[in-house]
Amino acid sequence: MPAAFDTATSAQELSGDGVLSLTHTAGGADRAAHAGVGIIASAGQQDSTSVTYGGTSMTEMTDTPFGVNSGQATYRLAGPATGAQTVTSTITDATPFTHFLGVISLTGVDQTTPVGTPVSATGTVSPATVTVASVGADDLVVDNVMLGAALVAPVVGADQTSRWSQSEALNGGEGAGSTQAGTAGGVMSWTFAMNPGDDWGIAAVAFKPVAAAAGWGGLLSSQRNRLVQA
Amino acid sequence: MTVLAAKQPVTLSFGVLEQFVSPAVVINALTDAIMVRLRRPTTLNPMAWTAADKIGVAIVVMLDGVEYRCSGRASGGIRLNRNGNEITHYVLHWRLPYGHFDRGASRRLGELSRIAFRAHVVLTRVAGNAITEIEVTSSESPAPLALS
Repeated sequence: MPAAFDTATSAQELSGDGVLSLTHTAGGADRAAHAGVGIIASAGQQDSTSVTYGGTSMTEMTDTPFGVNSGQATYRLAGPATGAQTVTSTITDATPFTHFLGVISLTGVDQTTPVGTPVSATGTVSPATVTVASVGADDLVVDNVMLGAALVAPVVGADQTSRWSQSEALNGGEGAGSTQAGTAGGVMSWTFAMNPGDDWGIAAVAFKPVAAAAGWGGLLSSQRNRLVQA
Repeated sequence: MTVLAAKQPVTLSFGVLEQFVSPAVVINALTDAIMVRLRRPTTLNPMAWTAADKIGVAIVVMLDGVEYRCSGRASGGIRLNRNGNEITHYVLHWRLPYGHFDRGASRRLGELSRIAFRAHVVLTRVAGNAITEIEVTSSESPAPLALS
C-alpha cells in the first residue's frame, strides 16, 4: 500500500514574536507528519529552533537560511497522535517579519524508517527545484518551498499536488508545500516570477511505505497493529 | 470574504480588561481561512501600544465541541519591514485543516460538523497595556481535490 496524503493545515504570522501554533488533525493507520517552516527575519536570525506536535518534538530534517533575510526548515514525525493536536513552530528571531508553518499528515508510512534522505537547495532564479534520490513507486514525496519576494504566487510542478500555501503582501513572501506520488519520481519544482536578487529555498523528502507483509504471519501482524492503533 | 468581526477598537489594560473575546459566530462549512488583523502603531498613528506591551492572539474554531486553535503573539511599537517601511498591521492567518480525515473524499474541516461550527477570536493581555483595532475575516471555497 503506498504512502498517502491525509490532511493539511497552515498558518502565517506577520510581525509576531517567532512562536506560531495551530491545531492539526491526523488519522488513519501508520501515520506520519511533515512540517514546513518559512521565515523572513533579521539578517543572521533566519533559523528555525523547533517544531513540536502534540508536545512531542519533531525531528529536524533541514534548516536552511538563504539570501539576506529568508530561511526554510522541515521536520518529520512518525506516529503522531490522532485527533486535534497543537503544532508549534519556534524560530530564532523574536521579532521576525514573517513566519509560515505548514503541516501535512500522511498514512501508510513505515514507522521504523519513515523517510529517505532529505535534500534542500537555494537559488535566485525560477524554478525552485530539488531532486530526491532513490524514490520508490509507493513513496510519497513531500516538499516545502519558501520564496523571499515573489511577484505572483508560485505554480506547482505538473506531477505535484499543492497541499498548502500562504502569501503575504508585507514583504512579498510565499510559503507552500506539495506532495508527489513516487511513480512520478523525485523532482519537485515550483515556477514563479520574482524580483532580481531575491532568493528561494526548497527542501523535499520521500516518505516510505509500510513494508509489504510477508506471508500470513506478516499479514496477521499488520492487522493486529491496525487494531491496536484503532 | 466574510466579515466575522467588524473593525473595532480594543483596549487591554491591567485590572480593567485582561481579555477581549469576539462573539462566537457560526461559520460556513466550506471555510478555508480565517484572518485577524490588528492595527499597529505608526509614525502617523502613534497608538498607546509599546514594544514592551504584548498581546496573545488566538483564532478559535469549535467543531462539535472540539476546539481547534491558531495562536501567536503581538507586541506594539513601530516595526519596520525588511524594506524599511513601517508595518501597519499585525496579521494572523490560518488555513483550516482539510483532506481525507482518515478516509473518504477531500473535505474542509467544517464539512465534518454534525452539530455546530463556530469561530471567535481571543486577545489576551500578556504584558503592559495595549490599544489597537481588530478586524476578523474569513474566506470560503470547496476543498481541493486530494490527488496522491
